[in-house]
Amino acid sequence: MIYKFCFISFLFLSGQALANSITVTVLDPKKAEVKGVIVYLTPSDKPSGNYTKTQPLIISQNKKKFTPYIAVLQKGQKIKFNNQDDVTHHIYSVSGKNRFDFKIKAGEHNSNINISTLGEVAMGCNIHDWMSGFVLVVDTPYFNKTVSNGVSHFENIPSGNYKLTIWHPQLETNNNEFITDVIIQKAQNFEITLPKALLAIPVQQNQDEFDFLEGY
Amino acid sequence: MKVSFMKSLQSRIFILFMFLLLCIQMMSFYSTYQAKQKSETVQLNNKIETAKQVFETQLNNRNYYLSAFAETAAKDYGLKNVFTEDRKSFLLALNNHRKRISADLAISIKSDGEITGQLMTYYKNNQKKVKVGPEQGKPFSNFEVFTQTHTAELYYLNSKIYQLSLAPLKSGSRVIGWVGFGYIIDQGLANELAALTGVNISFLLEEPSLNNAKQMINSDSIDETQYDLKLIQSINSGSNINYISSHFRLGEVDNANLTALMFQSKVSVLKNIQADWQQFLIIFMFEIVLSLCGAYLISAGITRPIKQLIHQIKHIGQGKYDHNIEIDATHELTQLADEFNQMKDAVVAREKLIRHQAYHDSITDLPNRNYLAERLVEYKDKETSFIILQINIRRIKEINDTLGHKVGDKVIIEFSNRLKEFSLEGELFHLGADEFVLISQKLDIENTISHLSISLEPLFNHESLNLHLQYCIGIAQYPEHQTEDITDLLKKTDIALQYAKKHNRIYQTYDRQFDFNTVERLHLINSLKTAIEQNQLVLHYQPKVSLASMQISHVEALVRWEHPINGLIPPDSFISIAEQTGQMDALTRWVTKEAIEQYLKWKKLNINIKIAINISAENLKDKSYSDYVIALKEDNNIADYEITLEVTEDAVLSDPQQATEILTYLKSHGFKLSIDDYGTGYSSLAQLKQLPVQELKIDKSFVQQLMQNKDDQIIVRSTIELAHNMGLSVVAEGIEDERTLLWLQKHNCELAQGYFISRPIKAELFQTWLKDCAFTTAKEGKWLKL
Repeated sequence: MIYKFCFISFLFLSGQALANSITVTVLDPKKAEVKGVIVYLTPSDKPSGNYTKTQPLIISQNKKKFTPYIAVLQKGQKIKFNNQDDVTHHIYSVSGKNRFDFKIKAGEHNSNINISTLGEVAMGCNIHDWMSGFVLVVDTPYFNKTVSNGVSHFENIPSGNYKLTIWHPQLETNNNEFITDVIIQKAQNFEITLPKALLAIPVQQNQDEFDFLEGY
Repeated sequence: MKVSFMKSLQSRIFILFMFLLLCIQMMSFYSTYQAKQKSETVQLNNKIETAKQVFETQLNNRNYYLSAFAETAAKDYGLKNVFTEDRKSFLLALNNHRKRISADLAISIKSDGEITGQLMTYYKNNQKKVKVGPEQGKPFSNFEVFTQTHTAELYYLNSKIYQLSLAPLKSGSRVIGWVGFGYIIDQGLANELAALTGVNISFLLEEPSLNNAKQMINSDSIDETQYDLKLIQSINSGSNINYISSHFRLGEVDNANLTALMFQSKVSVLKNIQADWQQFLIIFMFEIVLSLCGAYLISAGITRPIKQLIHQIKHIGQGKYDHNIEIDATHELTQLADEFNQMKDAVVAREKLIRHQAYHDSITDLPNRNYLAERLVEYKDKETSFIILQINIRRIKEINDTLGHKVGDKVIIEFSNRLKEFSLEGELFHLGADEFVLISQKLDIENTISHLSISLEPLFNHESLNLHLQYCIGIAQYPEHQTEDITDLLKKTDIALQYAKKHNRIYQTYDRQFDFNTVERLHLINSLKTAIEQNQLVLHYQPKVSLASMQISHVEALVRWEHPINGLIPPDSFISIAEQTGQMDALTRWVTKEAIEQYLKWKKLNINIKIAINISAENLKDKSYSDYVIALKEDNNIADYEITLEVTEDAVLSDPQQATEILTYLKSHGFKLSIDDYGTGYSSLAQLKQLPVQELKIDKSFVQQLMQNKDDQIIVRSTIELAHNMGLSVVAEGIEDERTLLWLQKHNCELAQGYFISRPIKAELFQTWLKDCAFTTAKEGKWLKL
């Protein structure tokens, strides 16, 4: 049914590049609104545009947590690690091709890391085992995170065919993503129901009673 | 006396003590046994529980150790860093970690389940080596199970079982793979755990469906028993009661349950207890033996004085009074012994008294019959000669009856006192009542009697009543009158005494002639009747000579008893028996009949001899004999006065009136009547005058010594004269010489009889004698050849 619809829309709107306002609402199988999941639209028929922004993606280490926990990085964008803690961190990623590690002292920041391979970068701190952060490298400028009511809002999305991808590290699907093909021609509301509810998000907190450091 | 075991005091005390001691011992034994059983159970339970706990702890520790180490290793950045780099670097890093805990297995798995690295140890030439495992590059089986638990799980590789713990390899919170380390479950482990737990350990692989161990890993036996599969299976199934055992399920591997079986033989667990128990049993047996010995000693100790007492009392019982009972014992028993001593003394005193009473007369305190019997035996043993006098106080009964028994007793005492004075010459005994016995070794009887009579002669004065103590004495001599039983001497004195009494003599010495009163006599009494019936009696005939014509004109029929055993019994003996037993009538009738038959025979032979028959008082009581003899006379047409009936004075005197009547009756029928034994009785001439007799027969005691004795001559002469004056003819018997015969002839005695003429002889002999004798019969007209 959806495919039929898409096909008809494509014939009707081809060649037009209209900017549309899109709202995506993410629901879990129980129709509860899902907050904090990555939603991004990838054009199906043409390559996405080059990265245009200059400001880097800032991943802070605050109170021995990766802040934010999940971030999206458009391919080509710089990434800047900002240690706001009073301790040294040893940030690493050993997953996939975006492998790196460095130490970052208290109050310092690091912008020397290049992450160019699409996909997930799972980061940890070799000193603080509990710290966990994810950067999803995408090749589209249309990405967002759902807010508390499970809604993610996009402006100026050109009409066309897109893959609407929902991603979250705790979404237990293949590559932690759920992809829907959509045709965007006008301002539209998409309601996406995930096949599975999210797993519990790991708490980035020292699980031990070893918290004497807090006093320093 | 043999007492039954249970009735013995010692046995009872022994059994009581034994029982008590055994009870205590058994209670002690029972409680000890219970404690031992309990202790065994506790020890067995403890042992296996402890073993199980230790085992579990050890296994959990290993488990924890593996988990913790895997966790730590997984967090190692270096390992993480090379996880997706080249395999060689990673394997080296993995091996480094493996070495740190000497794991037997190290494994790494990609998040998609493929085994990226597998290292396993093996032994080569006893050296531990590491090699890449066969599963490297292959998918990890049971991935789900291992990744979802933090604990170690069982892993089956190359027929070996490992405890394996996996930990996630993370990049941040993203799991990029797994690393794991494992220890092998092998005999080394079993031994190690066996050493720690102290029990045998077997790891069994059991097919759940078969419930049967198929493979096992055994520790070396810690209790020196070799275990085979069968034995272990029996222990595992719990059917072998000789073992304590416990299971611990480690988990499932290769579709089988891996179970650890902890077991040990009860014997080896309880070895110490058993050793203690054996020691205890030995001590226990020893205690029982000691207890029994103790019980025996106690019972013996308690009863020993009683036994002593019994032993000594037995002595006393046998009449051995010479020593006091002395025992070594408690106060009570000593008291008992003292009581026995007192009792013994009392018994001795009483026995002495009784003995005295037994051997002494109560009135005169003289030795009695019992004592006499003993003395006689002593005399006999000493072989001394003595005379024994039995002295009887006469008429004591009359004194008792008239003056009372007190006086009677006084008389007896006085008599005894007088005898005592005399008893210096001999030994005096009081046989009771009026009987005394004197034994004297002065054998002169006359002298003794005269001494006695001097002592006894004086009158006894009682309350101005003068009593003359009359007495009578029977005497026997020893050894002249020796008897088989010495006490029979008294019978002889008694016989002599009775004789003396009967004949009014002061004393009489025993003569064998008297002695027909005893058993023999009794015997004769019985056999006399048969003697009469069976013709054992025989008549002897003693001829009488008519002195005027010197012709044998008469015979006296004298009965003799030819006893088949005793031989010829003199008439004195059995006639008195016949008199006393009422057989006299029968005897006389027999004699009469025999004599008359003989008379008739001689008559036929033309021997004219008158016959004399002795009759007794019995025949004079009524007319029955008279009628009998009259009938005989008349039946045989015997002429008057051919038959003389001789009757003694005494026979007549017992009932003179009746006798006179009967004699008159007989006389009226033509019998000649003669007074026999004249002179010995008490008949007076006045009485004789009344009797219808025609003849007097002077007793032979007057005739036998007629020629020597002038007094006898006077008596005989005057008697003849007197008789003639009264119209009686006279017969003298006892003529033993010719002079007497002639003297009697001279003094007109009608008939003479005696040994000088002939002894009594049998009828046949008499006929022969008659032919040859010096006298004639009336018929032959033969004269005495002088």
